[in-house]
Amino acid sequence: MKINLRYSIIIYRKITDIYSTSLKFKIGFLILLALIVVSTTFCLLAPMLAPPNYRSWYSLKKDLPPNLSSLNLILGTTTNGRSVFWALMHAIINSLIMASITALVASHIGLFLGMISGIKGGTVDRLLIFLIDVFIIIPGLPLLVVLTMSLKNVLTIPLLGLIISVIAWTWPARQVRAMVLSLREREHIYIARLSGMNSMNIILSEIFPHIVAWHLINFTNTVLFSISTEAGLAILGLSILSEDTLGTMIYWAQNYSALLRGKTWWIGSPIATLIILFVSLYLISTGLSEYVNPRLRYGVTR
Amino acid sequence: MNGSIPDALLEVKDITKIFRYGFFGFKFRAVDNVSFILYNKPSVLAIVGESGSGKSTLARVILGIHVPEYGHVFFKGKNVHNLKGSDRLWFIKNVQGIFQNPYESFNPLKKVYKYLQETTKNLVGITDSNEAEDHIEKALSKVGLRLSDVKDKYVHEFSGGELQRIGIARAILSNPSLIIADEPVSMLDASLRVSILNMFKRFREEIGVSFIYITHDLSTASYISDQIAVMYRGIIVEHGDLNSVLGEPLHPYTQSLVESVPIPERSRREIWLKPLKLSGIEEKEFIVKGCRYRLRCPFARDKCLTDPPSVQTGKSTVKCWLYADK
Amino acid sequence: MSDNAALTVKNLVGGYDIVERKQHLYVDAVSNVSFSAFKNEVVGIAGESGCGKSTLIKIIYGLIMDPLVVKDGSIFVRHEEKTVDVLSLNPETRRRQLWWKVISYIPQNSMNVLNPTLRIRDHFFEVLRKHGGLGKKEAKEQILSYMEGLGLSRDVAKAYPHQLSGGMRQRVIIALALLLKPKIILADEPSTALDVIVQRGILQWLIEAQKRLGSTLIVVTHDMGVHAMVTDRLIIMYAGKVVEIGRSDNIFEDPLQPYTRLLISSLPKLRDNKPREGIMGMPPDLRNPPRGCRFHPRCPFMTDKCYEEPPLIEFDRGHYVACWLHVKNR
Repeated sequence: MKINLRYSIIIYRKITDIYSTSLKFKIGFLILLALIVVSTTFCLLAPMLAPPNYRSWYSLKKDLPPNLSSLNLILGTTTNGRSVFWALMHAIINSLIMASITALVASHIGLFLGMISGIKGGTVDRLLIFLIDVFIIIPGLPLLVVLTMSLKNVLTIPLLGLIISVIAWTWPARQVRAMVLSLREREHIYIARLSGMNSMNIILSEIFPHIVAWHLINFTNTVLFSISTEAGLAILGLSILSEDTLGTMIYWAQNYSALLRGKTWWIGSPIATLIILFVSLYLISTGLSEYVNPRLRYGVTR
Repeated sequence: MNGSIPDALLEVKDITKIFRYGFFGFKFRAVDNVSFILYNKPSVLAIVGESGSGKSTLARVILGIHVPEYGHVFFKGKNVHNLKGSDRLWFIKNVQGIFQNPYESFNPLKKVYKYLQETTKNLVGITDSNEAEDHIEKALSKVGLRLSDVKDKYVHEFSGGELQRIGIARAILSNPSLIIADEPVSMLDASLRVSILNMFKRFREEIGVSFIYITHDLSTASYISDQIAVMYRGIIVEHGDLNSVLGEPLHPYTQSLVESVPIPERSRREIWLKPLKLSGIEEKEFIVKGCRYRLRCPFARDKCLTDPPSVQTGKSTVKCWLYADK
Repeated sequence: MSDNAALTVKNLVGGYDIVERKQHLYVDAVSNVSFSAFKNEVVGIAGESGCGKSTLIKIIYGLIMDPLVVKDGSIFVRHEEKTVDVLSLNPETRRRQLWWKVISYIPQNSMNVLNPTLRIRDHFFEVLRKHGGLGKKEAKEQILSYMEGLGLSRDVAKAYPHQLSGGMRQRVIIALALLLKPKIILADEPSTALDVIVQRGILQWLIEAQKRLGSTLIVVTHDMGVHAMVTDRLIIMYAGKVVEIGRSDNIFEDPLQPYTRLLISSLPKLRDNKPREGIMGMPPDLRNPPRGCRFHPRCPFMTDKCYEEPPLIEFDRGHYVACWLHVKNR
């Protein structure tokens, strides 16, 4: 438990440090935060503000363009007679929940396996590398297609997140392993050993702090990866079509040829949101990468 | 298996360390069949060699960081690579290390003082923070630093010379009997080197700690050591006490080395400017069969295609066919 | 500029404009440096880290890039019967007219500047083509005979850089620098990363080439041993200032400036085990250098006078020193 606490503290400190140093990170983070806050607020307030059966079809007049007359109609309605606005709010939340699960699971599996592989070396390393390479070689999307199709009946948002993490863990694992391998030979690790520190202590205080920033980058990238993968699956009709996610909204809009029929508000909203989301995640990721560059970190010009 | 020699502090026996490169496992012997003994009385052994000679790898094998493919290292009779748990701690307490790059020896994200604390806690057994501070302060004063100068600072706030001193202070905290110093002054300015070397000399006298001083610089080696071992491509080509090896170098490589060291004295110029022939494209000498120096040696003969034996002549041991025909 | 001088540096002031924690600072790396280097001689520039010798060399060559700035001074070089101030030329002119042909520069760690995708002989072609104005056919024979003349075999010409050892690459770099027969050769730590034996071979080789060309070789290194073996005259720098200039014979026998003296005496010499002392303290921070003589905080002979900067005076013929101890009339 103490390890978890130390781990969380390291991460928290890192994030606050990066937030104050990097402008890109700050902007990206704030945009993301805004998106989350807006959608969460509205979702929580939904029981009061939304039409009682916002999920059911044909509860509103269909194909209405955006209209400022009421909150329900602020982004218009779909051909299914649903409020685009409320669908979008829930879609954002669902997508982010799913993506967070993927990111949490995949990046930590990657972190854990990468560190073990890098530190232990030898046969353990070779086995894990083999495993990682196998997963990299297997084509991702077809694998996901198979998984989602077979689990179609029990598919929920969290489960979908978990399924996507099956292919998302390999990149973080390889990355962390590479970092650990390069760190392992650094002299300060030897000095740490010569100071009598035990392995866990060395991992947490010597190795991990150098990896944290990369770990955060991996996390952010996995979120991005997960959302876009889900959108891809959705367009193939393989996501959870009964739930609102950014992907499924696009699916339904496509299904009803929204773009061709000129109902741009329906397909435009999820796409615009996706773009905003990607931009903010990209800014966060780039801000992190810039931070990781040692020249910038120590602020010395030579 | 225990060491065989009774009052040996350190016994290095037939150590061979092999590294693998690439997918097909191209192997090369970074350290090839190296042996020597350090006895119990405080002394300084200099291991001199150029980059690629295997001297740093040897240091790490002795410290237990690398495990050799063949051979053993015995410290006070115990096999260094078989130690576990509290035995391992006993070993670290007695055998410490100092490395070349002072800026890389400490984690830039941590306060340097933390390492001193950890060493005091783990190796000296002092858990009370005030007592620990006192102990650390004593060690720092031995290297000419004050506690207030060191506490709360990060790596980038110190100069190279200061960091190296802190590294030395950390190494003496547990009162070791042996310190392995790998190029400890190479990255420091010339005018600072001598003060660190003087410190080593002083420690040998006052605390009774032995040193294995690893360097490529023959001049500094000659300043502080009692014995010199010259390494070339993983083997010790000559080993003996200082005056014998430098005064009457036996191995052709040692001879070349002693002649080629630039000395800040004009009188030396004439000897140094005597034309030296350099070889052509230098082949990968570590796969060479037989004597590794063969391709550059002016005395190379057919016999040199086989590994030369170690020969004891007078005060030095040399690995060369020139001395084996007796 | 005297007839015999190949290079004259006059009152050169240069350094780095840096931004640290949002503050604009100036690092005074080369502070009012003046000296001359003559034809057919080897001059050494000695000093420890932070003394400004590498910066000085870069400025002399004309390699002045952000954040390096030159604030004052001139660098006179003889070119086409005229005396030219390198700093007065624009970078493009410098490159076309001076570089490789009049002045050549061998940078630090230069073993790694060879293009890994080009064979060695192609490197020579490049230099000849860009700076010598020769076509490929004429160049080929010239290059091969040039290389052979320098003792580099045909195998080397065909090889790629990674196939050669560090020492061999260094020789290639030097050969490239000497290709167009420059009058002035600037070498910054030409042998630091090398084996002592290889270092000796390469430096011997370099001096030989210098003698043949009758050029001026300026060797910059912190290694006083190398200076003793290789140089005719020596310039000692400390914290951006020139503190002593003189013939190497004189400087090693009787160093005048306390820093020079302490530096030489602090170097362990082979087979001479007498106890030595280092110099206390550290080189100063050039963002805020000490008033007056920059060595005074560490000097055992310091007096109040040292708060005023000592002039560089000619103590003896050709032997200059900047220290109040040697200023007779004041």
